[in-house]
Amino acid sequence: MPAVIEPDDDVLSREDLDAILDEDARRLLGLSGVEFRQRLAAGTLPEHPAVAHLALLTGAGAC
Amino acid sequence: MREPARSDAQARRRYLRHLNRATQCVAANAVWRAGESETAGVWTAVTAPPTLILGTSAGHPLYVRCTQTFHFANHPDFPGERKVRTEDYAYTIAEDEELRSELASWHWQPDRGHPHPHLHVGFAHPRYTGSPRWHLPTGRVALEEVVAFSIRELDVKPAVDEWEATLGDTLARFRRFRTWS
Repeated sequence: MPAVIEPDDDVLSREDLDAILDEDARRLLGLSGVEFRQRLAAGTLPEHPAVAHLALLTGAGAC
Repeated sequence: MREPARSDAQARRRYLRHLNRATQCVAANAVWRAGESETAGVWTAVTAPPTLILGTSAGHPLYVRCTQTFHFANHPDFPGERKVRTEDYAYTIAEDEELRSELASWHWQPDRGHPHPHLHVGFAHPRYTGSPRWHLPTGRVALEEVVAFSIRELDVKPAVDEWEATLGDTLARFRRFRTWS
């Protein structure tokens, strides 16, 4: 079996998750992380394959 | 061989290690990390980088994004041991890094949104033009199955020679200890 590569630190902080959400929501959907959360709560996010992934960063889901 | 986890941290490391083994069959330097989300007790696991570039034998790249959420629980079969229980998953394969040209997405988000595991096919049938948003029923799909699909059906180039044995091993461990069928 090939050796598995593992990160030195496998834990993401809440700030790390927020930063991934904000960066990818801006890049993929043109929304800030705050706007993404607001539109997730309102059910007004655009149809985009990234939405399900970004919603899971908040611990919520949308599919 | 069993890898008993006496703490949540050990359970998390074991879980991420097997995700890393499966993912590194197609993306050699990808690693999984996880953090507790703003929903108490719910952890989100993502890859670094979040969207992985997959080489294909046709020469053009494909892109995959994989996200899971999970929580920790007592192991039902081994008193005193902890395990990770998957709560949700989303796996997307696309032709572009922004995921706009989606080929397929596998979703399972049972407590939120659609209750059953399902597949979205990213391109429209000529008559049933709404087909990309269909929720095609599936069983619960393991990451290993998505990785194997990408190699076998989409001509993704494996990053390791032993990819079948590796995926077979991690999938067998996953099936042996999963708490759903």
